[in-house]
Amino acid sequence: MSSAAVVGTAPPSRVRALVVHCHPSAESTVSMARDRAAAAITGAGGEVRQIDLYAEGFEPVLSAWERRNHLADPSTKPDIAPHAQLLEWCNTLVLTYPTWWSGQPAMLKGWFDRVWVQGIAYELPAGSDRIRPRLRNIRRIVVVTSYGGPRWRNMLEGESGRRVIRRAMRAVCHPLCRTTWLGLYGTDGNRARRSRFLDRVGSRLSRLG
Amino acid sequence: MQVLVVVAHPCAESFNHAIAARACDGLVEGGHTVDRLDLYADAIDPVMPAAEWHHYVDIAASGSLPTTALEPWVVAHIERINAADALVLVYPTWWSSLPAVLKGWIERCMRPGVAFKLDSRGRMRPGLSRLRRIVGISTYGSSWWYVKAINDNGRRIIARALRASAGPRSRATWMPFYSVDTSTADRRTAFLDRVHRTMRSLR
Repeated sequence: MSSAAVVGTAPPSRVRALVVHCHPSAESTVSMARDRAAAAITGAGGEVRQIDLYAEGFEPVLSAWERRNHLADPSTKPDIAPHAQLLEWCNTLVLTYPTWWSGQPAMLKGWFDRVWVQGIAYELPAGSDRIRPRLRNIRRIVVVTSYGGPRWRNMLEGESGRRVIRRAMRAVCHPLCRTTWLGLYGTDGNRARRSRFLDRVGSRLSRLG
Repeated sequence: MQVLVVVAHPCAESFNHAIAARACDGLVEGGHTVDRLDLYADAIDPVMPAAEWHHYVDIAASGSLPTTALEPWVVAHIERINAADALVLVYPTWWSSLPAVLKGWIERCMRPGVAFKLDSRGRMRPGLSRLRRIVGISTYGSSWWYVKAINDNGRRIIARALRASAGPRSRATWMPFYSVDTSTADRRTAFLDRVHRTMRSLR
């Protein structure tokens, strides 16, 4: 094996985390968890860049033009360029959102629909129905999410949100990309449980290495 | 039956819109009353505002359904949902799940008091008691085996999570169309005919 290949597969020495936050309320547990996660990564010597989809008023609805040009070069889509650059910069993607109807909120789903496009997230060779991964820089996806219901109901409903991340989104990242799932079930305002969850988020994200 | 047909594709010339048109034709031929809802044409905002989210927190805190101010389009769409015996959803599968506009329509319209109700002990009960049939018709860029490997998460949301709100006697029907970008005209025509027949005989 050549030394270049060894360097190419070595784990990154420093965490470069893109934290994408999706919650309508700044007072929510998920928003607190976002703050805790970002602080933990920075405290451990990592670098953090943030996107707050609600705060910036992101438009999640893929337009007719975008659909008709979904295979066009990303340079024709300047409005998604800042987010695309952050996606290509990071080696760790942290998603913080509430689970609604067993999946990502429309706001975050729309971010996937509009930003994870051909030329950024994947390449789709002409005449093929199978995409090729392009976000090979992403080696870990961390999800911090709250569930309104108990664990059993989410299992019965099929854990769609988890499958979207662990199978569909991860498939365009590094082949060895790992996922870390931090879920708070039964969000019922129990302060002690919330506090334990936030501690867990902080401690897990301070040792991502 | 009163059938609410919801289509969620940005392009009027798309195969999804062709499917929705044939579904409506079949339903009318079968003697059903069709209410067609085009989420893109209506330009609905799928982003749940903070006030609507706080409503859920209030329910968790009080164990009852407090009232909240809703936008007029949400109120109007809820009336259409409550009038429906069957719900037909036509959409493209993107990233193995629903397009944001459809996911957000469900989030904002399938609300407490609509999709679920609370019984006297504060437990959640299905709220869509009138709804007997849920039909999902979706196009996929990927092939059958890739969809199975990645998991059909849009289908899970509709056929499991949403169907659970319609009560135990409701049925879900799934009509997938795989590899849409590389499909032949013959295969598309055959699928449209199948949609037409299935909708005509919907019971």
